Amino acid sequence: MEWNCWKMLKGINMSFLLEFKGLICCSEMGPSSSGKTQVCLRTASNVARNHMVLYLDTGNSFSPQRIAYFLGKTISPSSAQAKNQFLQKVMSNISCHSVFDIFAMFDVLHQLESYLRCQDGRGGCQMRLLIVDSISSLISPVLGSSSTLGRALMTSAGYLLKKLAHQHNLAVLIINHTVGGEGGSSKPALGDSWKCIPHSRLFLSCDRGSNTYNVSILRHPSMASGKAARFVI
Amino acid sequence: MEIWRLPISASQRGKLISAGYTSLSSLSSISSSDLARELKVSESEAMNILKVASHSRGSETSNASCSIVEGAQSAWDMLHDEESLMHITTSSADLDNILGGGIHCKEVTEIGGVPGIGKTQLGIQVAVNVQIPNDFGGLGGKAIYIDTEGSFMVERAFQIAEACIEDMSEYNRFLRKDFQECKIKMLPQDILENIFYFRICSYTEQIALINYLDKFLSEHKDVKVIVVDSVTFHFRQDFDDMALRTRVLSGMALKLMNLAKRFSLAVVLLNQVTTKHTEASFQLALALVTVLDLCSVTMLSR
Repeated sequence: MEWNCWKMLKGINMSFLLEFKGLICCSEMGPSSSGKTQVCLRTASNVARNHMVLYLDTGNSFSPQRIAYFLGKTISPSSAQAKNQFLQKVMSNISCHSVFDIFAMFDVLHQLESYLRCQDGRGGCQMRLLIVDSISSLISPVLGSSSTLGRALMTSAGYLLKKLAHQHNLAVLIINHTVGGEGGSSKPALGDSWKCIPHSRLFLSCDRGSNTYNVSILRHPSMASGKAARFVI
Repeated sequence: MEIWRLPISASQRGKLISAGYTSLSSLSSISSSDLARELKVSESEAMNILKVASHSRGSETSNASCSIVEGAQSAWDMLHDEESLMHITTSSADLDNILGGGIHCKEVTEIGGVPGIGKTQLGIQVAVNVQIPNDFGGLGGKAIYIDTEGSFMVERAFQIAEACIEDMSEYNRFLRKDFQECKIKMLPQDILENIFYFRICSYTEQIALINYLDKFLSEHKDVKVIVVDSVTFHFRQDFDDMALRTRVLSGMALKLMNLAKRFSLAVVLLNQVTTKHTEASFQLALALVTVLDLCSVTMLSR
């Protein structure tokens, strides 16, 4: 199943198309307040019109008011009741769950797996998007230098997400942070072991003092890396 | 839903399948003694299997508006919950405006500033304001005050409590002129009694306390705010292992967010500032801010 990311990220003035195939696992990273959560909320509000979305929130950053605002902007002005009904229909498609440690996330992913297995049999509104905001805050407390348990948990979490994406035609959007690298530049958190797990990686940043955000591709299976675009949310 | 997805042991599952029970509906009409006889297991085991099966069947046949995973909420429900959440006022209209009505419950708010700007005063004010009764627009809850620097002064808290009560009686007189004059029954001593004070002298005590708060909050369900003054004080000096410090702080932040969400309370963290050298200029930045990626962060300055 091929998806056009332009439709997913409608409203963001991306000047090029990112094609997301149904089994993609995409990771976004950027420094603090670079718009990562906003991009996720925007994506969720667009996808929720026709499909179901699960949002795993680790930092209480899910804001239903923001989603209502995004949806309110796109529909034509009509009666308050019609708008209310539309909001209710779309927002009931988004489920949000708070997880605060990695084991709770594994629990949720296993429950999701059994749900998706039942879902594949029947028709109707299906779940198509899983958002994890953010995976670095779940993994950093266990990623220590002495024991290898942290890295093992990180890799198994990554592969479980990829398996879900592949087997059930799910798009998975993961948020990562950046940490300081050599020479003052920032590099993505979670290191080199995480680098090869997502199918595609995007880097977000924002210009201080203005409302525009930059996104550039770090890795993608079919598009050249280095392409960048600016957008306003 | 098939038998193989039930959370029972592998041997029990094998016995069920070899006895011919492959779907949940086949288990719906059998009694536990018959099942025990067929599977050659004890009656308590059979009862357990039937209980698990009926529980799974119950959650399967629920309608689509139910959650996908246990504990998830739909965005529509969360929108309505958010509208009914109350805020804790900081007694300053401008600060309340910036914060969107006051300090929000279910969120962690970090407030930072240079020494001497009034962070501790603000912390004490919040701990008093949370106790404003529901009739006056407050939460009517208790407060936990975690002091790491030793800057909490009881005399000052008493003064703030007195001022708060005076404020409430003036509001009472102003707005309820037509109603019978009801006296404020609260005394400053009552307000002080509802503030649970913890004094922390090292980082291990701080970590231990955050872990203990879970149990404390289950016993004291009316606590509505946790004020930590200041959260990074013990982590700034004498910490050898920087990576360990980062891990411990991020773990602590997650635990506090978990507490805020589960018990619907507000967490207020007071933090110090450092100067950050970026691009040949000095900037004030909150201490260890990259570690604590929190909900709302406010900086106070003159």
